[in-house]
Amino acid sequence: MKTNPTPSLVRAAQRAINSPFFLANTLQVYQRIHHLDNETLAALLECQVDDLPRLALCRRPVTEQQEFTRDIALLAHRFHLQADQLAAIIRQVDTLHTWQQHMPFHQQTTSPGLLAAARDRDDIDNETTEENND
Amino acid sequence: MRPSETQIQIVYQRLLAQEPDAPSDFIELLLDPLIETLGNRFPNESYAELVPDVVIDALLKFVQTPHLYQPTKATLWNYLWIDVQGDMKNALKKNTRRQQKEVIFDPVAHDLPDGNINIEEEVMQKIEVTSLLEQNILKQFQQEISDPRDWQVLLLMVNGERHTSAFAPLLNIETLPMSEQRALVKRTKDRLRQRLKRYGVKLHEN
Repeated sequence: MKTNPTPSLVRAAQRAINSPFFLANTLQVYQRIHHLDNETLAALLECQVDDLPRLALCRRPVTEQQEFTRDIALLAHRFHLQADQLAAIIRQVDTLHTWQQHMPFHQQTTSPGLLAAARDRDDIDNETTEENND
Repeated sequence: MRPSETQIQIVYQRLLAQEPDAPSDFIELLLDPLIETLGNRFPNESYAELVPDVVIDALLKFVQTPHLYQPTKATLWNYLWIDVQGDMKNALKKNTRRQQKEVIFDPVAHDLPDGNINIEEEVMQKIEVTSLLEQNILKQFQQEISDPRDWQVLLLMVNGERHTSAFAPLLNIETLPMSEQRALVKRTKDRLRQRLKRYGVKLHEN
């Protein structure tokens, strides 16, 4: 059974925000856009708040579909969290980053409106994939 | 408590295998033991904030490039221990340089409205009482010394300071071996004495 994260581990998770290698970066962007505190994020993922620093220090799942699914499944199993919710968070933040890279600098934003549009696009993509699979 | 090399190796192999939760486990396994060990090596209270950050940054970096470690050269613990010690020394040097700049460009010391109670004036007042030179010649000397560090060194000299350790921080050389520090301090003082000599001033360094 895991103990509560030490203060230094929490601090490490905070410093990991600066590197896109870590999930900390993705989760922080998502939290900032949606104005979520840790408790709400944990509730959304259906995991323990104490597990968030450990989750944040994990490698961000790779983009390629097969590895992505495998990574998400592993993290979901490890932290007893909702796999589809974690996948949705990562995809939303990824989509947002992609859009930002293609926008002129002065239009770049991390507003909820833009993320909502990104989320809509994700939903469309998912629906299309499901239709194709049918 | 320091983990065994076997424990470290197990998580390290998972890092190499790119398991997504391996970085988290690796950091958790080594973070506090390394902080404790580095804290013992640098026990000064003023480093209490710096030590964890140095270890955290070293581990965050390592888990992103685990393949850079060469097992034939050192155990993983020793590799990380050497790494954090080096980073700590660099961080301390950086801090010293920053503090040095803060001292040098301290507006309180250099930009007082009346312009009388700064380092240059203090040195000049001391020189004036020890020389018989004309005011305008002393002014020329004052203009010639443009480096604020030189003024700080001069101030120590006219106040009779003789310890190398007092001059070393001003010259940002306190991390060098003592013999080198002594030589560099002597060279700086000799250079300033020579300049003063050109103006006919001989310092009474007590």
